[in-house]
Amino acid sequence: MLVVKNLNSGYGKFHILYDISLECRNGEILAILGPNGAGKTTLLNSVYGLADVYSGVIELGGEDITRLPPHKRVKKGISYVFQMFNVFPNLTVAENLRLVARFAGLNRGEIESSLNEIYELFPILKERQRQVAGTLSGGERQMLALSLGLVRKPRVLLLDEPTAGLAVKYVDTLMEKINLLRKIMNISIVLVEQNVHKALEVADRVMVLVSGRIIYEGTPSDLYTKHDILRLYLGVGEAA
Amino acid sequence: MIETLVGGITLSSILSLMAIGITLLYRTTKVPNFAHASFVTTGIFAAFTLHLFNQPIYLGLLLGFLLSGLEALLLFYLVLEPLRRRKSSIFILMMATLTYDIFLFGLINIYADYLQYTYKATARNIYLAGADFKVLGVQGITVVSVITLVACLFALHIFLNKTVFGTALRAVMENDSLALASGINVSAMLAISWFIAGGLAGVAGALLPLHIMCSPSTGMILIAAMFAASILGGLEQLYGAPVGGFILGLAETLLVTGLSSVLGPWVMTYSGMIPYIALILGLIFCPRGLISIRVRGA
Repeated sequence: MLVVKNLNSGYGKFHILYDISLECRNGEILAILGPNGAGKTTLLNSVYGLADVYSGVIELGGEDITRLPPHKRVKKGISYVFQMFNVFPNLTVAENLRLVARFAGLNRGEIESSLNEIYELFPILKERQRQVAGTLSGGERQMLALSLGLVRKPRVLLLDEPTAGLAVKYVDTLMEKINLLRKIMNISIVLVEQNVHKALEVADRVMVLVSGRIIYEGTPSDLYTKHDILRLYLGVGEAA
Repeated sequence: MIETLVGGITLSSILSLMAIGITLLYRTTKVPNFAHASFVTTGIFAAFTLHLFNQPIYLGLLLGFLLSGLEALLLFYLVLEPLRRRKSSIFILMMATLTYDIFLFGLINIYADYLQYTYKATARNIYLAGADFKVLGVQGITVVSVITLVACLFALHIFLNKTVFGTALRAVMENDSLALASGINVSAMLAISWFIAGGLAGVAGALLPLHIMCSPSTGMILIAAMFAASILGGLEQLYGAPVGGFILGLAETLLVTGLSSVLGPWVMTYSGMIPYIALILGLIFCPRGLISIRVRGA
C-alpha cells in the first residue's frame, strides 16, 4: 500500500504541491484528476523521487521511502510510466523489456516468466519483440510503455496520462488492460488522466487536484454528483 | 608515397581512438570534454615511464587505459556529478572539464620535471619510435594502432549490444530520465562511460610517442583534431568517430605531404591548421557529421 502524508514538494524554489495526503491500497485504482498545471505529474514525480520533497512522508508497505533515489524505489516495487518519451526508441521491444526487468532486480527465470506474462497480456508485443520500439505505432508504443511498468512486477504502478494522444480503439483497450491488471496482479495503481470519464470508469477512488491542493476526495459515483467541480475544474458538462 | 600513407593510417587510427571517447561522452553526458587532452597526455607519459624503466612499451596501452580511465572517473565523481546534481548547464560542465584539464596539465608538467631532473630523461621531447619493433619493414606502431582501433571498436560494440550494462548505457544515451525511472543507476552508467572514454584516450596517448614527437603539451595541441574528427564523424554517431578520424588523419598527412612537394617544405609549418579548417567546415556544412549526409535519390 502506498501512503503519502502531508507532502509539500516542487522543483527547487518552485513549490507546487501543498499538504497532500493520500492512500492507495492493494488492488485499488486511485485516479488523480485536475486541470492542466494542477500538479498531477509533480505528485507522481514526488512519489517516484524525481521532484524535491520539502516536507512530508512517502511510505510503501509501511516503509519510509521519502529520501530514496528513484532506482532504489524501483527495487522497492514502484513503477512509473511517463506520459511521453516512455520507451527507448532505438532498443528492440525485447531489449526494452529485458533491460527494465533486469534493473528491477529480477533474476533470469523471473525475467522470462515476467516476459511471458507480458506477451500473454499484449500478444502484439510478442509479434513485435525484435522490432525497434521507435517504429511501433502510437498504441503499440503505449502498450510497451505500460509493459515496461509491469515487467518488473511492481507493487505500485504510477501512470501519467496513458491514453494521451491515442486513437479511441486503443484508449478502450488500454483502459481494459489497466482494469484487468489490478485484479490479476493485485497492484495499487495511481492513475493521472485527462480523460475524466474513462478514468472514472475504472477508478475505485478519485482525487481532484487544483493549484497543488486536494479539493475533492471520494468515489467516482460521488464525484458525479459534484457538478461544480466537474464543470469548473474538469471541463465535464460544459457543453450542456 | 606508401610511407606517407602508412603514416597517415597510423595517425588516423590513433586519432580515431581519441575521437571515439569524445563522441561517447557527448552521447552520454552531452559534455564536450576538454580534459581529453590531458587523458591523452597521461597515456603518453605512461608509455614513456615504462620505457624509462626498461619495461615493454606496449604495456603502456594497459597502463594508459587504467590511469586515464581513473582520471576520467575522478573528474566525473568529484566535479561533474556534483554539478550535474545541481542541474548546472552544459556550459558550466564544459568549463569544468577545461579547468580539470588545466589542473592535470599542471600535474603532468610537474611529473615531467621530476623525470627530467631525477632520471635525466628527455621528458619534454618524447619519441620512442627507436624502441619499436618492425614487421616486414613497417614500424610496429602502424600494425598495433590499426589492430588496437579495431579491437577497441569490436569490444565497445560487444559491450554496448551484448551486455546488460552496455544496453543500459545505450538506454541512458537515449533518454536518461526514462533510464532513471526504469531503475537504472544513471550516475553509475555515466561513470562507466567516462572510464571507457578516458581509458581509450589513454590508449591513444600510449601509442602516440611511437609515431610522433610528444611533450606535456601534445594533448592540448591535438584537442582541436580530436573534436574535428568527432564532429566530422557526427557527435551523435559513435561509430562515425573513426570515419572522422581517418578523413582528418589522412587529409592532414597526405595533403601536407602533397602540398609540400609542390609548394615547398614551408607548408609543413602550417599543417596544424588542417584540424581547425576541418572543424569550421564541418560545423558549417555538416554539423551532424558526414555520416548524416545521405545521397539524394539513393
